[in-house]
Amino acid sequence: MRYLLLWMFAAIICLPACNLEKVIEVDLPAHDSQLVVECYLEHGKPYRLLLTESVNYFSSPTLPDIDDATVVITHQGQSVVLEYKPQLDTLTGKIYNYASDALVDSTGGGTYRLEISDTRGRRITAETAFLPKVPITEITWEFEDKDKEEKDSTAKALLLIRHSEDPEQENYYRMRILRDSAQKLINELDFVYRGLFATNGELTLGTAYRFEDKDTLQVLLYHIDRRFYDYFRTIDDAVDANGNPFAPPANIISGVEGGWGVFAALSYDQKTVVVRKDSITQRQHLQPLHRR
Amino acid sequence: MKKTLFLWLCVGMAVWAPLRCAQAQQAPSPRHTLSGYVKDAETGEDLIGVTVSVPSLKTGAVTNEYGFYSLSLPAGDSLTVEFYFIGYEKVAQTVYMDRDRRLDIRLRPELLSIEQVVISTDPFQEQLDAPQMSVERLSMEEVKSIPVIFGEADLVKVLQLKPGVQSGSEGSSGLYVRGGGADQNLILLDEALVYNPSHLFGFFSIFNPDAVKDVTLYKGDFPAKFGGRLSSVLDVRLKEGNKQKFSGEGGVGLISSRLTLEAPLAKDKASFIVSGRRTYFDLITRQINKANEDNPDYDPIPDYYFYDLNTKVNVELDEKNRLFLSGYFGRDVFQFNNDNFNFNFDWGNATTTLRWNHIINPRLFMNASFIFSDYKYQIKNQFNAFNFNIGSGIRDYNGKLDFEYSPNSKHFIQFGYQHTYHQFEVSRLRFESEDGRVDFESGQNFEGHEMGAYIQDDIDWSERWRSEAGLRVSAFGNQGKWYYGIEPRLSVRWRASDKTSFKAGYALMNQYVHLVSNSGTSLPTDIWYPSNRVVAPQQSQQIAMGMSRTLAKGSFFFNTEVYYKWMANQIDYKDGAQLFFNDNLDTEFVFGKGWGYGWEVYLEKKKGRTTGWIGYTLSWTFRQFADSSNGNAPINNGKAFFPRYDRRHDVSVVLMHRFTERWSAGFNFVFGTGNAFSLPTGRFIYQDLPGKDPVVVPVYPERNNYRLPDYHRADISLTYKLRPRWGEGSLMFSVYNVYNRRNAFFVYFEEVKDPDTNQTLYFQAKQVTLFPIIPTFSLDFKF
Repeated sequence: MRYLLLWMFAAIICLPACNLEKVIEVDLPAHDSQLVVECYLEHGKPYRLLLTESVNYFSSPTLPDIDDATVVITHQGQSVVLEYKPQLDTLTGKIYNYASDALVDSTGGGTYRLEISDTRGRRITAETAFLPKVPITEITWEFEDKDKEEKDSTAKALLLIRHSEDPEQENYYRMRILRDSAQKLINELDFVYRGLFATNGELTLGTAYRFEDKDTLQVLLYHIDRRFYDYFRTIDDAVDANGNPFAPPANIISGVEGGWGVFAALSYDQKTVVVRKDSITQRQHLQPLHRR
Repeated sequence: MKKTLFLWLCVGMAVWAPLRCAQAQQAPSPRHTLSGYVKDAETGEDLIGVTVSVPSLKTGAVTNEYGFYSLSLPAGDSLTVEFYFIGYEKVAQTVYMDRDRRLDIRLRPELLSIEQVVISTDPFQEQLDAPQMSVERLSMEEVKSIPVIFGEADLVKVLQLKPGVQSGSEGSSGLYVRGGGADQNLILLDEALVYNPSHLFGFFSIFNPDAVKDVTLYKGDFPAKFGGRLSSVLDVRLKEGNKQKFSGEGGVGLISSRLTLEAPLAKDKASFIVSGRRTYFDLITRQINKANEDNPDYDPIPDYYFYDLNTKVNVELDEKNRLFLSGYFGRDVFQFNNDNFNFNFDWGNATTTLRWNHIINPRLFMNASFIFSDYKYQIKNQFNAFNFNIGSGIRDYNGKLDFEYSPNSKHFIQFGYQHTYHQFEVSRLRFESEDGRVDFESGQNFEGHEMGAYIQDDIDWSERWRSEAGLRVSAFGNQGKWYYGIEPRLSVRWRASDKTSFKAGYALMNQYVHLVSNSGTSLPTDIWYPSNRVVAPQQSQQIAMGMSRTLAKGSFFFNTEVYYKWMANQIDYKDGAQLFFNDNLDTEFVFGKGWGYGWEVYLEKKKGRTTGWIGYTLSWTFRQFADSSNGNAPINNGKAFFPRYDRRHDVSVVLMHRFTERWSAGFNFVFGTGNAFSLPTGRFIYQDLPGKDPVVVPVYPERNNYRLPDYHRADISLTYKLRPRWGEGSLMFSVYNVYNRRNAFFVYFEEVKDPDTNQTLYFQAKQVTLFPIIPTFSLDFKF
């Protein structure tokens, strides 16, 4: 809604005011630096995380590395110590600085507890658990020139994604759509939502007309907990607030105690579809693909 | 049940007792009453605030909102009564008070030639004399003479130039009075409550200056007849329509055009007025879209326009009875339609007021009103086979009875009762598909009853001492929960000399209906929410003291006031509140308090070729939301913070000058401490899941922790009066922000990247200005 209002505002009023920007000096008060952690657990993958800290806004853009922390993840009485091992995952382009060779095993269920402390006395704690995977039950698409004169190359398609939803439970989800382009995954859509607006136990999500004929799309549905949901959406709000005069105050709701960050066990369903205009049914029977 | 009964008993006593008293006063007495209406001689419009004075007795009265006055005078005397009002020729009439007399007066507008610029009346006597303080009145002449942005005359923007009134942000028509929020203003249009007084996200107010007769803003010391809001009362009265002849006026401006027509239905007995205004944005953007329709890369510009329509009919049934029916309808419309996507977003107010004025006897005047008021926004979105609708609104049905009673020359008593039935629709949302696989609805409906009974006596103790003491009893019920309020009001005036008055006032106000907003400005999608078991009424108390003095033989009026205001049960959203798909919105609230204090200085000149004022305000405003009793975390860690509109220093200079009978000019200068604004002090990197690029996340440690640079601006206007055969006109050339000051609308932080490597190089702060220098031509006409 606020994006819409901002867009309307810009369209009506701000256009004549283009180029009315200038660089200014801002004297910011000292920032109280806090630890920032990002740790995602995936079945069969090693325990690893990125531990940084928040810095003064105008300080150097280098990533603030924390190399003196003690990081332990405990699951079912077993503690896994993550050592300081900076590394780059060349497949995903993501970096980590604390890792263990132990692999995450989600089969036993239960709660995972993260504890981080550094030599400055800062301490982060968090808990997470693997939630049941919620399968995507249907993906359909429709081109904008359906029933009308064919636009051929310019027509775009929308996507409808459906999954089951139990209205008795308070569920949170993250939906991502990635486009496979020249061996590279391009993020098309990424949003979080609550499972509130189900009809007859089914929840439908739609996109705008934005996909082209023969686009290969990966659709991922993450079943997430409230902490991850709040962290993700408030980060979105905070990023939006920088440059939006109508934005509400944007304090981040952290997913961990004692700092900023997220500690999340990832349960997700993933489907790959090729959007085809010549598809007779415009639907594709969904075959589960391998988990990443 | 007992409490309800008690309230009704209070209400009954408050209304009935003075009425009985009034009837008892009908017994013969050594005094008689002079009463009547005062009207404009040319149009027949009732004149509000005309001073009716009997110099020999040093007594007098002022015409009320309906142009009626009543004066108790000694029997048998032959007295000279003077009627004077700014902009009109003074009238003196001798009456022989051998019985109660009715004296209707018509005042002729003063024809100000350039040689005759000294106004014969003393325009500031009533301000010195009345115990009422913290009040601002505007004439439409002033509103139309003062240069404003885009040349669109706007009474709210002129009020923002008065001490103690802030605009919130540049160009905004929001009203932030003495530290109060934009939702804490009781905005009345012909007695009907207006819930959203602005168009285009607050840049223009809904009041069409051609249709408005009188504007009064109470910043404190509120009369007991007003209730339901904490911080101010803006009482806007519409014209009744010319009772003498068909006439019209209008204007063509950069943003909109307007036209007003008025005429008698029966000469001197009945008249009507119709007034409309509409913007042109959409007509221009449609042409741009049409010119680009063959361009496949062109994104059409959506339609946007707003309009206002005011209508009013009034009938004088006989000497004692008059009927008025007035209405307002205004909408902002934003729409975009194509083959697959239809988007319509509209919002606006609708009000209707039916009023009956009845003179029960020369000392007792009654007004009965039935008022309908509605505000809503709705978004209708049709996309492919899906429909998505969302909206919120509030609708009121209101009945009120007001009495004014002048038992003798020492007392002027007002009393009355008001009952409002509210209907709330909060975030009604419907999402459905043609195949029925999507069918979802959410939102809340509430109903509330709001009541208020009041009595107030203006007592003229002596030549030096005069006071107004009032009491309002209010109540509000929703979902079986009732709240009650006892609201005392008091103001005292001590007249030190003919030129100097000292005043003090106290007022307690309750607000039972809340506009909950989490942005720094009022948006059409903000939600009105009633008090209930969780949400207690907001309450404010304000004390004010001041001194008024006329200078230079009455040419100047000097006024200074200090105030302290404290507010309880303030409401804000918690951090990261869920506003949509939420059927229990009050779980998202955090409650707190607010307080503010300040010093206002005002110097005004109404006589001579050059008129205008200089105002200065020194003020502090605070909010603190430390209450976590409902489980929500405090805001700003429970620490007090400045709201955005807190402004330490505020200066306004307004000058109007008549060079000749045809040429005149206007000048404004405003200076204000920069708004409080939230800026991040820190940042961190969120690299997110594979497939996403890392983002820089700003960390906002405190709310409104930064001050935007000081704001200042000057505007000028030059007006040339036209004298066409069919009437009169004026051509105005105005320049907003004449020295092109780049004032900060907001500041943001930018990540500067190397264009080749896409590596972040550094971060910098950027300031965005909204309005540079803007020259405008506008044409007004009258016939």
